Amino acid sequence: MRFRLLGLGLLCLSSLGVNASELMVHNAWIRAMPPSSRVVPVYLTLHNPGNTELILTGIRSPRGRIALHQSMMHNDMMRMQPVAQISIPAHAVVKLAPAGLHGMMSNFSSGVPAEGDTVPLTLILAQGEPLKVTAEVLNLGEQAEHDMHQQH
Amino acid sequence: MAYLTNRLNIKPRLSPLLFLLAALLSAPSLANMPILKGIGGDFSLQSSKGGEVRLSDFKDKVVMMFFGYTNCADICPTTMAHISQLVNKLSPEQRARVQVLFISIDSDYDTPTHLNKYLSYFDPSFIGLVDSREKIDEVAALYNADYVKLAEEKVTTEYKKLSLEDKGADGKKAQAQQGYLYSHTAKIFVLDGQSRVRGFFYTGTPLAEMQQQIESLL
Repeated sequence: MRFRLLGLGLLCLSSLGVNASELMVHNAWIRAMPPSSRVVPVYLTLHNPGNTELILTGIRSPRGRIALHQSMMHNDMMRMQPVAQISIPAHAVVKLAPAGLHGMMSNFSSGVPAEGDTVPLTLILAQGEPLKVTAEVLNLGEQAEHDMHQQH
Repeated sequence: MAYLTNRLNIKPRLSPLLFLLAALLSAPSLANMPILKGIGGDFSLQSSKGGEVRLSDFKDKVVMMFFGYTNCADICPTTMAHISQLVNKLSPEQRARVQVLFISIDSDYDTPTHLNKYLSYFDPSFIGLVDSREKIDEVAALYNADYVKLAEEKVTTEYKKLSLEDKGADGKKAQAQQGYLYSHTAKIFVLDGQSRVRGFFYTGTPLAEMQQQIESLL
C-alpha cells in the first residue's frame, strides 16, 4: 500500500497538467451472448496520444460489474488472470480484444446485454476524470476476427 | 524510384520462380495432417442434445473438439465464434461431415441443458458434452488436455483488492461474487473420420488455413 501511494505520488508529480480526456477510446463492444450467460466480455481500444502514461484502473457500468482480465497462452494452456490495472504508455494504443486483455462483465443488473443494446461504460483512470463511452453489443465473429488480425 | 526500377530489372525472372518454389513447398505441408500417436481414444459423455454419446458415434465425420466452460468470458466464446465462422465457410455437404464438440471442464456448473442453450447461440449443430468430474478427467487425460481451476478464494481476493482500490463502492458486491476462472488447453483438437487426432487449431488460426486442413481430411 505504501509503495502504491508512493507510486501514485510520483505519477502525479511526473504528469502535472495531464488531462485524462486525452485518452481516446474506440471500438467499444460487448459480445452478444446467450441470455443464460453469467459473464460476457467487454472489448475496446485505448489510444493515448499524450506524452504521459495513463493507467486504466477499472471499468464501471450500470448494467453489471466489470473486472479487468487477461487471457494468456502459455505452453498451449490458456490462462485467465485478473489484472489490477492496464497501462497505456505515451503515444501507445492498447487493445482490449479477444484472446488478450478484456473486461469480464458479470452480476447483470438488468439481464445479459442483448445484440443491438448500447451499454454505457465509465473508464476509471488512476488520475483525471472518468471517461464515459458507449459499447455496442455485437453478434458473433466479424468484429472479433477484425480485432484479432488487425495490428496497430 | 530509381532503386525500385533497378531491383525490378535485376530480378525479373527470379521472383516467379521463388514464388512457385514456395508454393510447392508450403502446399503439401499445409494439407498434410499427420496421424498423431499416443493421444486420443474413444469415450462417452452426456450430450447437450440429450442422452449419452460416444466419440465413435461421429465416425466418418471430421471432429473439432474444444475443452472449455460456459462461464468463460473471453476465450471460449471467441473460439466458438471462430469455429462457427469456419463452419459457415463450408458447403452444406462438407458441413454434414463435420462435427464440433465442446467438452465442458466445469462439471460443477455446466449441465447438458445449459450447454445446449449456450452452443445453440453459436451454431445449433454444435454438441456440448459434460459429465461427472471423474469422467471428464478421464477424457482430459486421453487428450492431454490439462486444466486448472483457480480457487474461488483467490479470485474473490483479487476482486476484493480491486474494489478496495475503487474505494469500496462495490466492495460488498465483489465479496458476493462467486468468481472462478479455469486455465485450460487452448487447442482445438482435429480428429479425422476414424477418430484419430490429426492436429490442432488455435483461436488465432486463420480461417483459410483451417478450411484447407478440414477439407484435406474430408
